[in-house]
Amino acid sequence: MKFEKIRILETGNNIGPLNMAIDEYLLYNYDEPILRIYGWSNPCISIGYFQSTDEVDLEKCKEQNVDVVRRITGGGAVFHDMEVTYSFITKKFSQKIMESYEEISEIVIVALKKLGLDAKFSPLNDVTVNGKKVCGNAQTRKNNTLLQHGTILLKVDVEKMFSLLKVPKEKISDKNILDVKNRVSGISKTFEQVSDALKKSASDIFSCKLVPLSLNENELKLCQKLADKKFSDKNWTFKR
Amino acid sequence: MNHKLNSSTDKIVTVSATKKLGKIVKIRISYNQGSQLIQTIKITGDFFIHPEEVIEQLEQRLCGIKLKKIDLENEMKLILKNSKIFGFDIDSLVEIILKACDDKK
Repeated sequence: MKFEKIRILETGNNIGPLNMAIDEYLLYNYDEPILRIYGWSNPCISIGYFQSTDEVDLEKCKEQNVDVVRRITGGGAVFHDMEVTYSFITKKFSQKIMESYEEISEIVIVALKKLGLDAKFSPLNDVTVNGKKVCGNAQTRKNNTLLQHGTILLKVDVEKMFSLLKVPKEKISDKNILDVKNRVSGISKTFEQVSDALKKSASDIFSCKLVPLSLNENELKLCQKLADKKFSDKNWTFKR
Repeated sequence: MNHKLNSSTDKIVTVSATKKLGKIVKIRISYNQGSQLIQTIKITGDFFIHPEEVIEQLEQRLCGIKLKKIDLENEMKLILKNSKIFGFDIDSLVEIILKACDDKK
């Protein structure tokens, strides 16, 4: 896949509903490919489109001031805290889902390799380093556009993560919860290191120039409206 | 697996879960014990379907369908014919529905 240019949008740290709203806004309103890099101003659990909120300990989330938001993408529940999150939005993509995951996840893999880590794609939607999951990804396809977003864990508070998420017993199978906990890991790099590496990686992989993008005041208002009307709405969050 | 029998009617509510291709699929289903027709069904989990909204159509269209392998398969094939699914397939979804309801018999 080649692009002439990719727009780079760095939106800083925002709360969950606004982060999800910006992704959805970009999906429906931009024709150019965009790499968005962002973080979370408050810890947040995002659940996949198809998941039930039963996957999350809602009382503990409330106690610990952790937001809960439903994504527009499938996949599992993610605890967003000390991480770099990215979205890649493009109208040019493989119709084969596995192939498109692999192509776009390459941005993360090459970025992590630039940081000295032996990163590998782990189908369908993960990236691992030394056999441990450091990045999970999810896609949606709408408006003839593909959006893939994913998280790159910098540090993980495993105990907190698993106190907020209810791991289904089917995931644990005959192994114990410790095995599940040991499958995730942070990469011990800074936000800036990962953010820079992602940008360089995108430029290298797609042989393109990077052009900064910022959302204007009106666009930010529209995103905020979407955050308020959809992603903060209990009817959306608790729809399944 | 949990079952709840509503004694005032012949409605049975049951839940079941399975893991396919590393993804979890859970169903919560209510059906009429006499007619064996599905009344409500919710399919949840960490799987992927494109387009996503087809899951709501699937849940809606399965209501009123008989708990028979062929009936379930035919309806699912019709609804999911243009969808791409990762994490389960029609066979495993039919299996989990029938298993959940069979366990109650």
